[in-house]
Amino acid sequence: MSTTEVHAELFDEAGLAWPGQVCAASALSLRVRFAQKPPAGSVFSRVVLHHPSRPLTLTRCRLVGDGDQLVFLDDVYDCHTLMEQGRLKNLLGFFNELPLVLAQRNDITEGFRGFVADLIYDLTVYKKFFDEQDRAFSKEAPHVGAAAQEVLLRRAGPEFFRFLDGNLDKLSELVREFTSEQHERHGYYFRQQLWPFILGSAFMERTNLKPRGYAGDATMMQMIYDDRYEGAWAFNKLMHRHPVQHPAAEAVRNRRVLIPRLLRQHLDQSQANPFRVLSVACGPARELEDIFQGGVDPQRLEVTLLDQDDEALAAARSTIERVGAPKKLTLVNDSVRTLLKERAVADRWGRFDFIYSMGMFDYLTPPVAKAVLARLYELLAPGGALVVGNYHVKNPSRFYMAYWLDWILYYRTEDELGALASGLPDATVKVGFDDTGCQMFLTVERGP
Amino acid sequence: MTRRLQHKRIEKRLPPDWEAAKREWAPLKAFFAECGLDANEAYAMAMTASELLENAIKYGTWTKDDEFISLAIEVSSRAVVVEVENPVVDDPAAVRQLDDRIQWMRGFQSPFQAYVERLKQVSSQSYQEGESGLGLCRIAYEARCLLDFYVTGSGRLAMSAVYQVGVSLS
Ligand SMILES: C[S@@+](CC[C@H](N)C(=O)[O-])C[C@H]1O[C@@H](n2cnc3c(N)ncnc32)[C@H](O)[C@@H]1O
Repeated sequence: MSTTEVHAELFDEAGLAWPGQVCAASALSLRVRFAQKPPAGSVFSRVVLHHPSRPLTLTRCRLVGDGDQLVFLDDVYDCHTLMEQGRLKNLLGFFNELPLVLAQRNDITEGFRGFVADLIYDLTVYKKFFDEQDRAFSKEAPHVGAAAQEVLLRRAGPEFFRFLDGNLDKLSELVREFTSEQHERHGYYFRQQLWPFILGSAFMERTNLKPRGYAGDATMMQMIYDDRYEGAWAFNKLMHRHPVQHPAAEAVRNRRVLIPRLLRQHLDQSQANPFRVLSVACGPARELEDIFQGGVDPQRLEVTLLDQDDEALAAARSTIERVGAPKKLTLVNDSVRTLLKERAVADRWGRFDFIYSMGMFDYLTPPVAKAVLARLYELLAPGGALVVGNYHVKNPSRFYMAYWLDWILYYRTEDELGALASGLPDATVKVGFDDTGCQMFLTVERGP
Repeated sequence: MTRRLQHKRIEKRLPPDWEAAKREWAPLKAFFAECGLDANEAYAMAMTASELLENAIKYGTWTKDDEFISLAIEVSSRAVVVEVENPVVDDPAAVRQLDDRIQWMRGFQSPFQAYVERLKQVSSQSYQEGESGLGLCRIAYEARCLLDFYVTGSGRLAMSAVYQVGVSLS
């Protein structure tokens, strides 16, 4: 509840001013303490609010209730924002912009329209079927219902996944030759149309709504690592699980094999003790589980985890709590975009024997990626290695991610990824792939 | 369809004033056309460059006489990169906000969607000039560029726009 009170003049239809003190009465109404009370039900043609940040003029309103509450007649104001921030927030403002959104369906190809219509029809049929079963199951005792749902998922799930896969193939076929402008327009159209189904998947709901402001937050990463059903109903479970099992997600899980393996190699060859490790954009840092359980002596490791999102760092901390602590652990809440500004970062942090960054360079454009890579290279100790992941332009989940998940990456070719490291002094550069072929690993080693 | 663009790079230092920025428009457009961009693209990229210059003048911190804007443009086979650098005060909260905005905006497949979502918030509120973040959304949407930035080792803000040429996704 806002308590701010502001001086105001209310002008009635005869032009007479009624001064008073105004505060928010509710989200959509104001309360006035008049110097002199006007007749009940009075209508005012405008209100001038002397808010400390700036004067504001509000439109037509009427006194209701006990004669001290104001409701508006032509606009719907957010009265809390109004009083607290001195900002006019008219909840109907966006209505005027709707034609812009409506116009987005122009220039959608016939083939694409037909594809979307058929897809919606088929999904509706599947959803009805699954939901009907669930309704029947829900009348049973929980353990009986759960057993029945398990049968349903096992028997009908694979067929439904084949249906989704088939549609992704059709989608790729249709959009393969699109310009980037066409992709954007058709993607927007696609998500408007499929919105109810997107919201039926916990994973897709999150990638689309991006509650942390970006795709790839710690919760999404945990969903990928966990690779489980989510949601109560079978249809929702399947819609959640399908994208989480696609190759690009498989590639994320592969990090948990690849990073520990590379780290292990360098650790075994290194004399360094402690062996200092830095993960840049660490997310939930689930690979630490595999590192610590893979026989590495945690007492030989000093680990620094950096992420811009404090929720990601909290998730990383709980990973550590589960798997056991390294000799020393440092969590840094910062963005690599600003990390670069500190010339003396190496003095403050020391140098690292192994630095890795997974799932971040895919978000950086070339000028920034190059600058960040050069800076991370400076943080390497002699003989140290830097490993950077980046999805390849041929990522088979690319259209799935772009159209369904609204998850956009900066894809690179091998050459483009390698070129980020060009010009680094005394560096040995390699580019390799993971087993799915969608993700590349750039390894940069500093000479001894 | 893949086009081959001529690989070229230019670098310039400009004083932080509107006149100097305005003078760049025509030669830049000609330069982009020379590299092989079509008329629309050359126009859009010249617009992007001048919007970034304008931002640098508007939001840069200009305290000393010898301070300047650096403009670098690189055209290569797959991308056009415009980068503008200007001095800024060390204000972590402001940089954090810019970082969040850029990521939020780039998070959508369709820059139109980012623009509309922003508009949805802005159209209902009376924002002050410069605080809405709509300008950046517009550059991204109209010029079809990916915006990104970092703070350099000497504490300057390096803002860049990348235009991916004929990105064939197949
Ligand atoms: C896709 S996740 C990857 C997480 C983890 N590395 C993994 O592989 O599971 C991306 C993470 O990068 C972080 N991130 C993105 N941009 C960043 C930046 N500029 N600076 C620091 N962290 C960033 C996000 O906060 C998020 O936690």
